[in-house]
Amino acid sequence: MRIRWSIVIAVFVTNFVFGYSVDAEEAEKSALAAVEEKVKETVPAVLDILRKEEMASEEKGDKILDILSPVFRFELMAKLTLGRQYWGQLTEEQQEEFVDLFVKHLQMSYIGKAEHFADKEIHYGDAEWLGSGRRKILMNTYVFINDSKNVIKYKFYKQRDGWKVYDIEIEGVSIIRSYKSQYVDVLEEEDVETLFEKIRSKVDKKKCQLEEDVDAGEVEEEEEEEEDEDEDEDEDDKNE
Amino acid sequence: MVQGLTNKLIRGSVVPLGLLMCCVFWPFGSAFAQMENGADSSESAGGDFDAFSEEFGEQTTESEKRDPLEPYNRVMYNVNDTLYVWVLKPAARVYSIIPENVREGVDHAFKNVKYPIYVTNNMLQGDFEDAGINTIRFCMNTTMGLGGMFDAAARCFDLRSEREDFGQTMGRWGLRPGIPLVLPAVGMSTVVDALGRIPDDYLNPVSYVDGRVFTMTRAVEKLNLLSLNWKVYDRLKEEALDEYTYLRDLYLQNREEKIQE
Repeated sequence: MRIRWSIVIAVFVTNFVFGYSVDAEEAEKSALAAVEEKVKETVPAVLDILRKEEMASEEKGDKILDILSPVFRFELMAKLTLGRQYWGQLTEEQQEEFVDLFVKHLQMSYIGKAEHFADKEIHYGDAEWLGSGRRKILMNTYVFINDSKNVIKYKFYKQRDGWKVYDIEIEGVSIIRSYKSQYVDVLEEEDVETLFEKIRSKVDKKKCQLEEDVDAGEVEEEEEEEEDEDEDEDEDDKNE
Repeated sequence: MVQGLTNKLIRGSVVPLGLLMCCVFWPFGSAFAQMENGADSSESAGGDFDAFSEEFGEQTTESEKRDPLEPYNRVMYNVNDTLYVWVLKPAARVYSIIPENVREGVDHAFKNVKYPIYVTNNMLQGDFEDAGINTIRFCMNTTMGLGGMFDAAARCFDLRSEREDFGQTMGRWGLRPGIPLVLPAVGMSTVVDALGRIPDDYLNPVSYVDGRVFTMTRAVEKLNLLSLNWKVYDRLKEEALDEYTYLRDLYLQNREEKIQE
């Protein structure tokens, strides 16, 4: 009698586990495929807009934001940038205002960087799982600038309404990490209003500069990896 | 007698019951799987932060803040920046009269000459495949690429490899970039990377040419590089709330990535 019951339970358990794993595997595969698809659709769409010479910078920014909003989860990015401690200290209105400012700050700098890639060749890697728990996916893209390969990684996080970007890494530099240390530095010394004021002034100033840049015309390239070396030449100029 | 009957009853019904249960629960298996996946995406504040504590947690910021030389670094950063704004950038803008593709070619040629640095560091890191690729690249680009002006190896044969330096070699062997250090007139670096420049300089053929020519060559090399990059550099400065910490963090993150590659 006991044997019979254990067989039934065994069958039931195997059945359950098997059914689960097959389904989970398929779900995982389709998640990776969906993320790849999303990146391959979004990146060219953004570059198309950047390439439009007749369009004003401001308009480009808004158009790009329209494309990115369904793919990026800006609220999450903003939250992660402040971190648990500081996000919790904000009132609800402040949180809303912060998300808004953060998006503007991000928009300016992302577009600034993306412009350098606008006319470059882009290759897509495969999407892969990031970390444990199958909740994050990493998608590698490669941009060839002056024959050197630059890696841009898009990181997705599982949300109720699908996979959303929560961070971008350009040549190892994470947007969230670098913004986080900027913001937290201000918050440690001063208060939230000061931080908001600082971001606001950056965003406004940049708007003007972007417009100037458009007038100036041509855009030049290369990656930040090299900007460190840029200063190398100080040495030589001094020597002369 | 009663027991026997119960036994029979159970025996008779258990197997079909088992099958029935299996059928009923089969779809539940997937439903549970989906439920669990769905639960993962809980958007509660705590859940979000927990999932990212490793990635962006306080430890990262803590380690990034290990900057005991900060007061000195800030002063030196400002000195360098003044030099950049008043001397180097104007010089680079004037130099930019030369067409961009020519400047890119010059940049390639300078990088090509540094082949001994790359190949030595490839080997010190035990990466003999890249050492081989770099050797082939050097041979091809020096000949077909007209002294390295054109990256023929990358264009025609898709042969690419990382340009490794001694700082990365030390990183690979466990000596991490560590303490940030702004070098006078050179820019953002770390104590380890600054030391790494010394063996790299010995491996750079350019350093074996006669003194004055050497200075000139280095000046042209750097001016050329800057002329290709100053706009990116300016943009990064623009978006920074604090230029020094921003550029420092970018440098450190980028170095860390290069070591792990």
